[in-house]
Parts: sequence; structure tokens; C-alpha cells
Amino acid sequence: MAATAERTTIATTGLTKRYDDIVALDEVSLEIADDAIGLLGANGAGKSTLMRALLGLVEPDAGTARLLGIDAVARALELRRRIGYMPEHECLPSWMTARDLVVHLGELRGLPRRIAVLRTSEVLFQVGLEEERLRLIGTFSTGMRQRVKLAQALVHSPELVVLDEPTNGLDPQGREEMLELVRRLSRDLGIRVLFSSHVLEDVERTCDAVVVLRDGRVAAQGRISELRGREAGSARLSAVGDLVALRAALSTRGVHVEDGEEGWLAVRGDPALLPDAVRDACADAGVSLRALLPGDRTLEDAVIGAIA
Amino acid sequence: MSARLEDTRYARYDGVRRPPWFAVISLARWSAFGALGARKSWRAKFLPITLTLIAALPAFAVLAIRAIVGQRFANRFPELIPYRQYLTEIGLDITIFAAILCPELLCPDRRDNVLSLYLSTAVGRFTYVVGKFLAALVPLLSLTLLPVLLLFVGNTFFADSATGYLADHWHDSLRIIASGLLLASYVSLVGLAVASFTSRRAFALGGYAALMLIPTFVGGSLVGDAGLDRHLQLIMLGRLPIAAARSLYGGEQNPEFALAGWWWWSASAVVMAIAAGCLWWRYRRADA
Repeated sequence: MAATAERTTIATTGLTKRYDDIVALDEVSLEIADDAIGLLGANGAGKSTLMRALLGLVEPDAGTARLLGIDAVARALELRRRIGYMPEHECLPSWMTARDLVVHLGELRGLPRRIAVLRTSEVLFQVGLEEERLRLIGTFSTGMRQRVKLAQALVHSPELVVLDEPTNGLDPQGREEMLELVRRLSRDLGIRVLFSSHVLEDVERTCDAVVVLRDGRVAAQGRISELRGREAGSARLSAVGDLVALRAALSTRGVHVEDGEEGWLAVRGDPALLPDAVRDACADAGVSLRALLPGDRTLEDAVIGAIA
Repeated sequence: MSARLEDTRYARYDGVRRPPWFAVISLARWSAFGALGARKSWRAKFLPITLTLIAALPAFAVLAIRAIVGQRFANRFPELIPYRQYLTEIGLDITIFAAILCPELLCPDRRDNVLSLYLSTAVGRFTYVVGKFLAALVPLLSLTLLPVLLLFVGNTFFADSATGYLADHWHDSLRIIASGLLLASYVSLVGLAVASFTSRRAFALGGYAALMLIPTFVGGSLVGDAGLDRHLQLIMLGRLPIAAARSLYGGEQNPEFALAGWWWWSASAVVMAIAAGCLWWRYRRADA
């Protein structure tokens, strides 16, 4: 039981947080064990509030929140020693060097000074700032500041790192590099990741599972591969000939048909029978089947479907 | 000649971790270094170093004179600056030092949002305030305690009999420590309380200077010039801890204005309690 709780990355039940009349989180219940979790939603959907509630930085009005099996309210300080947090907003002291700041924050999370110095070198190397470690943060670009924020979140060897909009303010190249870094955390370095973004593509590239928030409520959650695959039984086909007859033939076989892009037809039906139904319908209508492809929907389709 | 290859990949760390109180020490050390100008230009270091040297100057001067004139005038100048007088002489120096130090400890954290970064680590609001208090207290002790202790050690060294001097004056060492701790704690708490209300260092510096100096001048005028009730001296915020420290030695020089020592100690305690309350109130719900 304990091992299961430890394995669970996020577990919330009925988590609710209000700011006066605004309901930031509305009975959010989650249980996710994946290593890289994306938190997706428009600005104001409740992503940051959920993250802060999971970190024990805001006290919920109702419900419970556990991260790595640790109660985020009752054991907030212990929890924050075990995880790393990269805030969205600007929060770095301009008068410190990158090295000093990361050493300092490593010490604050319990690392002995000598270890903090050694690990600071490692993480600054990992985020690509080893050459700039002795420069004052006040002289850094936005991208370099984001890397410092990531380095301080990693220095104490956290089991999980919480990244709040890490690509904000980055140019295209900086964004690419940051996403690659984030992907490496869970894939290569064995650190679990909770990644918040309002950019779908960022989450799709870096995470295994996703939680979609809308107006403080969970609109969708699950593994990204499953969310995409929930439309098994859909396909796209391209044919030459009498398409009106083909549509009629497909309909008589219980296949739903819609116009797709660039002359393609989108078809949906019983997953087990769909390929045979399309073949037979083409034969009956006397059309030539040029292509029949799986109708994978994108994560975008799934998310839009969930929040629509 | 041998070489060693270092693997610089990220590795997990499963070794010893310091207990939570270590965070207080780390916060205090880094904050104090930053406020005193570490990693900054010489201009940032100039004032703290200068003010520290000024505080120690009387002690160095007295000891230098004793070293130069030897024992010839030793009986005529047994104490060029009595211990009870030392903090009075450098009171303004201490006030200026605190006025510079305390805003530097808190204001940049608010201005740069660093407080939210700290609170997202294992540092709680109480830990943060205690760390900042220590970051103010320890440097201030180098002005309120070290110079007087240095004078005490020097006087012991230059006395005809060091053991005899220690036997006669051991209680002075306790008074020196109590005085230094009281004054440093007082100006630290008041300075931090004022600085906690703003993210602008200039406002904090001006506010602290005004709070310490204006009531002191007003109280002095009301009692000394207008001849009003001597208890009005208790509004002299800049003088409270120094007068309390002097009361430890007894023998107030102006009996007509003298108040019993417990008045000064009580008033100092009330001001420190109010300052601590302000800090608690300002950081009780500081946004992380």
C-alpha cells in the first residue's frame, strides 16, 4: 500500500481553492503515477493554483493533495525538501551569481555545503550554464534566467520537479532547448516531472500523461497515448469514382461518413468491422480505393473534445 | 604524473542531508554577505567596512595610547573611555550601520520576488524571518560587542596584573556582552521591522533614520530644554537600548534626568516586541 502511494505522483481528492468569489480549483480529483505529467489549460484555468496547492504553498479550502504520497498541507516543508520547483514568474536575485544562488538554494534544501558546491557544477553543466556560472544573474537574458531557475530546482537531487510554464518568454531556439532539457529529466535522469503549460505541443513533446484544466475543473486526464487512441474505429480514406454512391454504401453498412480535408473522407464505425466494411462498400459503389489510413486524432483533438 | 577523468553527468544524491535549522544558518550567512557587499563593487563594501572600523576606532586609539605611553600615565588615565560610555560614543555609527544593513536584507527580496523562491524551498516564513534577523544581528555585534570586548581584553593585557584586573572587572565582561546583545538585537529588530514595509531601500533607510532620530531629539528637547516629565525620555527610541546598557554599570551622570534601569529595559523590551510583531504581521501571509 505504502509502495503504491509512493509510486503515485499526484493524488488529489475534491481539492478546492477559492479566492473571494473566484473558484480557482473546483473539486479537483486526480490520481496519476506517470513520470512526466503535463498540466494543460488556458491562462486562468487553475494550473498555477493546483501546482501551488500540491507544493503546500496555498492551503486548500477543501479536499486533500498529495505529491509523491506526502500530504501537501500537513508535511509541506518535508515535501518541498524532496522536490524541486521552478516558478513561472521572475524571482531571481539580480545581485547573485548563478553559482552562488544554486549553492545557496541547495543548502536551504538540506545539502551540506561541499556537496551543494559539487552538485551546482553538475546542474549548471546540465542546463548549459557552466561558462556563465560566475556572472551576475542581473546580466542574464531571459533564457539564461530560465535555466538558472531550472538548475536551482534540480540541485538537491529531487525526486520530482515542478515546472511552471518553463518556456515562457523564450525565443524559438531557447524553447527548443528547454523542452529538450525537460524531456531529458524524466527520460534520462530519472526525475519525475510535473510540467505546466498553455501550449499543447510543449506538453505533447515532453510528457507521458496530461491533465487538462478548465475553469478550475478537470476537463480531461490520462495518458497522452490513450487520449489520442480513444478514437479507435476511425479512419481516413481516399477513393476515385462515384463518392456519392460510396457514401451511401458505407452508410448502409453502419459506417458514419464525414468530409475530411483535401478530398479525404473521415469514416467511423465498429473498429473490428471497419476495414472490411470500407472494402465491401468500395466494391459495391464501383470506386477505386486509393488509401485507407488510421484516423488518429491528435492530442489537440482530444483536448478540444474534452473542453468543448 | 597522473590524470583523472571526472564524470560530470547529473547523478542522484542519496547522502546525508542537513536538518531544517541548517537552512536558517545558510540564509543568514548568504544574506549577511550580500548585504555587506560580497560579490559587489568596492562602493557597496565601503560603508559597512568604514562604519565597522569607526566603531572600533576608540578601542584601537585607547589601546594604542596605553601601548605608547606605557605605565607612566596609567594611573592618570585608568579608563580613557569607560565601558559604560563606549556604546554612547558610537551610537550614531551603529544607527547608520543598521539603517544601511537592514533594508539591504529585506528590500531586494521583495523587489526581486526572491521571497517566493525561498518559500518554495524548505524555508518557511518563520525560518525566513529568523534567518534575516541573524543576518542583521551578527554583523551588528561586530560594532556593539567586539570593540568593547577588544578594549576589555586590551585593558587586561596592559594592566599591571592581568589576573588582578580580571578578578576586579570580570563582571564588566558580562555587562559588555549583555549590552552588545541588547543593542544589536534592538536595532536589528527595529531596522528589519521598518524595512519589511517597503521594497524600496531608500524609503526603509529614511524611515528607520527618522524613527530612531526624530523621537530622540524631540524627547531630549522636551525633557532637557522644556523641563517636562523625565519619563518622556522613554520616547527616545534611539537612546533606549544605550541607556538600558548604561544602567547595567550604574552611576548615571545626570541624576536629575535619570530613570531607574528597569524603565529603560522595559521600554526597550516593548519596542522590540512591537518590532517583532510587525515582522510577524508582515510575513504571516507573505505570498509565495
